[in-house]
Amino acid sequence: MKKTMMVLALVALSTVVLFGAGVKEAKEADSGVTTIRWAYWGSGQRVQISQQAIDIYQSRHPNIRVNPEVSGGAGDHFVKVDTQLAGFNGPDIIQVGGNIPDYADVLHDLFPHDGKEINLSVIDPSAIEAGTIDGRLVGISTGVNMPALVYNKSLVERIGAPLPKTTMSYAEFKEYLKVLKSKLPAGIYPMQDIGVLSSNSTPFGYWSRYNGTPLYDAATRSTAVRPADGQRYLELFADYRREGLVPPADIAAGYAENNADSSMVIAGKAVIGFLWTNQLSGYQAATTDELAFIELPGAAEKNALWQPPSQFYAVNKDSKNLAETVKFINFLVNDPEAAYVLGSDRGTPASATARAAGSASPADQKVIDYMNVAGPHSSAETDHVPNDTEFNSTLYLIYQRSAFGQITPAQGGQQIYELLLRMIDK
Amino acid sequence: MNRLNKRAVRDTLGSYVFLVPWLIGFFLLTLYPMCYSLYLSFTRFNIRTPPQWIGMANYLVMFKGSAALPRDERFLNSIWVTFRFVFISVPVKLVFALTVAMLMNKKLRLIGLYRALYYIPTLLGGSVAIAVLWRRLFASDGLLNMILSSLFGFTNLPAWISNPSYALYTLIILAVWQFGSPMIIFLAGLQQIPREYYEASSVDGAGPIRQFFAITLPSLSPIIFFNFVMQMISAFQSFTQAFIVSGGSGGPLDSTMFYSLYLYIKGFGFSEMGYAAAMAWVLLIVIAILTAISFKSSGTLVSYGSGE
Repeated sequence: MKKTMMVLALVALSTVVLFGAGVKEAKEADSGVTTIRWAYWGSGQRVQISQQAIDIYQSRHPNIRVNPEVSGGAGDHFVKVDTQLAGFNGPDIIQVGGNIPDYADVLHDLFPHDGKEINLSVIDPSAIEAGTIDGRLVGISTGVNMPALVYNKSLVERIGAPLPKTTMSYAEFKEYLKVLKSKLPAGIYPMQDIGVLSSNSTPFGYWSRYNGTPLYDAATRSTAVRPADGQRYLELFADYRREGLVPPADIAAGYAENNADSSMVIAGKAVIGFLWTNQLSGYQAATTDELAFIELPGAAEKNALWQPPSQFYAVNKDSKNLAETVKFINFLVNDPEAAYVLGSDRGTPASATARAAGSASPADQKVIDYMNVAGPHSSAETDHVPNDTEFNSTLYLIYQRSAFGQITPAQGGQQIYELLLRMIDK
Repeated sequence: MNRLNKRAVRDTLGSYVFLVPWLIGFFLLTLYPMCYSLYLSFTRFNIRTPPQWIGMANYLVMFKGSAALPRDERFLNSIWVTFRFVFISVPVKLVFALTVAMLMNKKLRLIGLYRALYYIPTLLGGSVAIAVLWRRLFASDGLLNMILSSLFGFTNLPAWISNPSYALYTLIILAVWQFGSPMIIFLAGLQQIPREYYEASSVDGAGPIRQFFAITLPSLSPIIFFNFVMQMISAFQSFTQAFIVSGGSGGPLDSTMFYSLYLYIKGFGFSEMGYAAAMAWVLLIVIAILTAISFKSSGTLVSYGSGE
């Protein structure tokens, strides 16, 4: 009898140990505070301004607590979110990017909330369309973004070189790089090799658009790129490398270019680099030198730029606080006070009320100025190549094989072509 | 008799009750995930949609290519990189650890302090901060190149960490630098060797080198073997250093693409969890085979003294 009691006691004890955590959570829910979990990725600057927006919201709604779940980069973010979703423990707000179609199945349709928790009427129709998949609004655009070249204006002035024109042809651009080269001390390069970007399909995608051979067409499931196009892209940068306009392959690869901390331009070792417009305020916060934008070369001739939504605020369909979560997103995209602190860090707002609020960041004026010039030099976005992460990773590998001289640009062009076909078939 | 039997059953049951917390952990957190990963290795699984059975296809792609896909050259490269890392870093590390252990075995003043100091890299080495430091140390404008150029006048120095010919060796140096745990084990082993052996041999006229090869090495052989197996297993699983130093890419040119890093990129980057699970099983089998070979060959090389 004694033994039976002991066994029972042990079982009871292990139950308490195992389920103790659950008890604590249940208590919190009773206290009347709703917790919204917001998963996003970004740098220190973004974390700071996002927290400011959260603070404003919480002071207006004392019964709401917003817990940010931040990752340093998009890669880590999706690893974390995928794992959480697989464990039925996903966050309420999931920030997604161009990969939104991959997530459509697990996202909540926001159209039914229009006019109640969220006001869609002040948001640009093109932004609504971008977040709509199969008639369901699965994400609200955080703002519009454009690819650009960033340059270190203070450095250009220090070496006594002329400032670059915003719009240049490829020939003018190369001449300008040569001017920089002649004025720069050894060890500082006119331009970072943009093939080393972890998302190097963006500059390659731009080059393909410029040539009229877009990477992918979803309707026909085909690519217009041929081996010779890939070859010419690799040759273009091989030529820059030979002339010392971009650094040698091993020096360029020393900068991961994931964020401001691993950027060659921010390190002061290169004048020009690739940047999305929404990244400017974060990068500017990391240096005392003044940064500014120019267009990618040739943009005006072919309207080769494009203006995609930067990211989306999306709602997990299994969220337990759907209404409160959507209300908070409405605050993030439409509220003037939120817009003022958030600025264009997640893209230039797509909401009219947010745009009217202006911004706390001086860098944002440069983004608006750039968009005024470059906006007309853009056209509709090319469809995303499927299996984006693998495409980028392998393109990076092929680019490096060519940069380190392991293969010729012709072989590289062939490999790029085969890679595209494989990604489309997969 | 009957009473005794009853008692035995009760005792057995009682011991199982005490084992329950551990058993729950074992079944839920170890055995179940292992079986599940074996199942996943025969599927295509992207986490978001349910796994699809594809038979041996994952294993075929690794080694010879399947009907749909060519052979995975990056996989084969990652094996080559990992083998080079393991079979260079482990022996160098053990030689280094043994040398330091022999120095630390001397009767010096403050010897305790030295032993503690030499152990510190092992505590720090696996950390992200050290991996970041390594990046700065071996960068094109890093400390190493600054010293080489300003003190010795070298010019045109490579960016060690981002040059495919050298990048792996910077990681090997990082691994060797964490020689602390084998050193401590060697030190314990050295102190077990009876002093009489050395005294007797020096009476017979043996010098320090002869003593090292005739006494120290044979007496230490079980410890060397233990260290070798443990270090080999952990070297095969190295991940953090390569992940941080290469910014998660295994670059430049996949020259630091360790097996476990490629497994991670395949699983979480490319959303091919089935393939990643298959890679994990191949790694398990490879390590098991190498350990078995080590144990088989240890018969001739390792002496366990006269304990039998």
